[in-house]
Amino acid sequence: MNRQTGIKSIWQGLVLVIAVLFSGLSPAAGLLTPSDGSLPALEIRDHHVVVVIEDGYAITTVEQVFINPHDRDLEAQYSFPVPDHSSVVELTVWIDGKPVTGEVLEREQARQLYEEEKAAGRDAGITEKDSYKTFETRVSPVRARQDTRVRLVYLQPAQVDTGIGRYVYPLEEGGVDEAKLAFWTANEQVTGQFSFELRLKSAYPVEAVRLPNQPQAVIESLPGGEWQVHLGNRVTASGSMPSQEIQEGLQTGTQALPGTNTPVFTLDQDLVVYWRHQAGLPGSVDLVAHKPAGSERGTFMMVVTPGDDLKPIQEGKDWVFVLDVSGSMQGKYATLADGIQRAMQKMRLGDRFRIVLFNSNARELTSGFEDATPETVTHYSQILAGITPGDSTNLYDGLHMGIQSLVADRTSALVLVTDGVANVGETRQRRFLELIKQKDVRLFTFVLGNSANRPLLEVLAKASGGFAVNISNSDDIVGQLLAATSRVTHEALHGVKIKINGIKTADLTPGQIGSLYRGQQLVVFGHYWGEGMANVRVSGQISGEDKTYQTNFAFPSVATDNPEIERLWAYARVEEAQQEINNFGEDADLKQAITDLGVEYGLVTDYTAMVVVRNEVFDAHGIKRSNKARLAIEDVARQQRNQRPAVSRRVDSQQPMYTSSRPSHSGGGSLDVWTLLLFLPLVWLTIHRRITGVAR
Amino acid sequence: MGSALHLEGRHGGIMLPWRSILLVAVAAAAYLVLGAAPEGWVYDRSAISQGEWWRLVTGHWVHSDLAHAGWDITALLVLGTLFEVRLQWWVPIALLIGTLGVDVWLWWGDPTLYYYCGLSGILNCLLIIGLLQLWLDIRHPLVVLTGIGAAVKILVEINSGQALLTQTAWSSVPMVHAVGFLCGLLYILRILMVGSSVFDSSAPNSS
Repeated sequence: MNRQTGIKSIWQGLVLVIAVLFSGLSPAAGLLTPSDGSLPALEIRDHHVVVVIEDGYAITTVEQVFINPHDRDLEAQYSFPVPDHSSVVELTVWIDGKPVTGEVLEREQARQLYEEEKAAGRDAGITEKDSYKTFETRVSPVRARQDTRVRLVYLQPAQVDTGIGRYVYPLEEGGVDEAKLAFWTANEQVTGQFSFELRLKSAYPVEAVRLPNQPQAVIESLPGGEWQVHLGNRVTASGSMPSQEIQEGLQTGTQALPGTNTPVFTLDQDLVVYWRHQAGLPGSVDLVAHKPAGSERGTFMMVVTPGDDLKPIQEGKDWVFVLDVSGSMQGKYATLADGIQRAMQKMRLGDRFRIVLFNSNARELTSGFEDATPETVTHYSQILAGITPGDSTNLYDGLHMGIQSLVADRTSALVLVTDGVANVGETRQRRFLELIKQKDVRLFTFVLGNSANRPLLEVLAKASGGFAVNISNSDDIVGQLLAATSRVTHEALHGVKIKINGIKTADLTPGQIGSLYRGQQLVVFGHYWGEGMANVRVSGQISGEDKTYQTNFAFPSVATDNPEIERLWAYARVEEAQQEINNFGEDADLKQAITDLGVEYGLVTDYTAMVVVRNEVFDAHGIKRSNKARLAIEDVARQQRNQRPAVSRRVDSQQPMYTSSRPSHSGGGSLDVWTLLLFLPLVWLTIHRRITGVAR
Repeated sequence: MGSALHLEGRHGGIMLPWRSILLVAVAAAAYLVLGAAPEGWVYDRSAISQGEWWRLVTGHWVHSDLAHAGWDITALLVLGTLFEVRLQWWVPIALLIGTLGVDVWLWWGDPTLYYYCGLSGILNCLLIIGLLQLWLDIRHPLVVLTGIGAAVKILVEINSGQALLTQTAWSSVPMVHAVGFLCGLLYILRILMVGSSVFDSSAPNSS
């Protein structure tokens, strides 16, 4: 086994480690009721999810019906984890049987309006964001013995990694916000209809779609590059009755209600959908733009999918494993220890490792770097097995010890595995950033569950030139980690910059791109003015050598298919500004910038909220219906897109940016004409011996 | 090694390599009926880990596109025709040995390869075992030269990271050729250690 294989093997062992971290049950998305029993619980009767993935982004629509079975009016409070890089763009509440869409206001203003309406007994709703953790939607009143219908829509980019796309409908709450968990009880059961529909349209051929852990999902490939996924407890997408198995409530997450035949769906597991592109597709540049007729300024999303020209890394590394052994890891630790043991057994002679554990404090399990001999592996496996997890999460101490242990003259990688939030010791993001920049080390972070501090961990990984992987309990965890493996074992394009000449562009997001690892896409949002040909260059360094890729293509004068691009651009800007605030503390200008973007583009952020009140109340308060107007434009575009097959957004077909095809996880053993030529002498020999009558 | 394998049948007629023809028919039918890279049949690491173990076998008998299927099935036909008269039941057995070896490598040797399909890896195992039989039977230098040529080709492929002249929908994985080749070599080592009568004594129905 060579060194590269050894590194792969370490990761393979880590797969086992992380696979077992997800054995515990966590609280889920659902309707919240105070745990002290001061208020009776409402019910979720119906929960319908429709996801459309097309042109590089996903639109998720969640429509629910809440029931109040009690004799007094109550407020419904629905909470669900914040999906990756997403913002709620629509809250619609049915008032007097008619849908009323919400408007985004500065958060305090929205809250005040909602509370006024609630106090007056008038219908109102609000959606707020609880930092990186949850979206909270409140609706009041759900009248006694009646129901209330609510619709939420959120947008997010849909990226593909090494030929595999991934969408997560997050439902599991991570269970790390102890105060919240103590205060609220979540009712996550859907007593009526549950359905999950996903439509995927891709101009790049998709070979397969899969829902891990949901074997009963109905997956169909339709003409025009479209795939459809259906999951539900009642009827199928086509309106026909489901299979007998589904009717009997055999699907994951369902159980029969006592005394009824109605299957109950429990919103306690994330739903994950993967799609796999055909192998061998070319590296490419895709452009999705929005520029209404007569508008000077357009908005674009450019997706660069590199070709496979990053070579495998041959040199060895020192590995430092920094492992979370805080209280939230209880019940998982025994298997974690087993996984670490397996990981160490996979290391080759000559590789070195250290293990750092952290909870309230950090401590090193190893005594400096250890050679991966059978003796050391056995020794540290036994010690690991005897440790009892507990206490808080002092992430800073753990990282600090891991970083301090590195040796300057060896290539090093630091692997952080955590499911929690830094809640003791140093918790300021700026300090973490300073810490990670002390040494030249790549940080690879495995972020488990929906409630870990993903923004912090993503910023740290990016600052180090590494990457963060978010993993859901419902993921094909092995697959996710193996995808990370293929990145770590190859060179990366570091210090990536993008330059667009020939056309005026501005507001490019992200401002700092960082590194591109094998299989990763580069997604850049921005504004452009005018129209016409542009030269686009992507540059960076591979193993210290400059590398530039370029192509020429035209930006359109008019593009109206994808108005959602404006919101996606705006939210990308919001995330960057929020990151600045997290890094360096709250800044009035940045806060105002986020608020302005949220209000203008109808986005729920940390500083804005979406509120629904009666139409006459909107009018009385002089609140512009800009989100309503935006939604109407988006709805028209969506209907037009629905009626046509997938459209290619590739813009570098004439002058490809990459000469090689995209990396993929697919491979085939194929012979060729040379092989057959090799056989010719044998054929001649056989025939010759037959003709000449030579025995055998 | 006297394998008692003759080109002629018992009554002096030409013996058809019916086992190989059957296997060729299976591979061709798999492509014609199931199409390219059928989702339920390819080697799929995730699916295998969830119990779909049959993919460890079926993955080798399906192909990613027509060129992939064409070259591999043609090679199977040629190798079967060349070797079956000597190997008989050792044709499928050699393929099974190759299947085992390539699967072991795919699973533990290249965990980043999620999906795989194609016959070529296991064909290399058949090639080496067939060459051994031929060498033991006729001791002709062309047999050795063919083996050396195959080894050189594999090394060149590994160095370049791709098949020499074939472009298939699923990119080429030259290492599987090396693994199949090595599986054959390992089996040869076993034969040399046990004795040259292995084929005779073990092969069922060696007429």
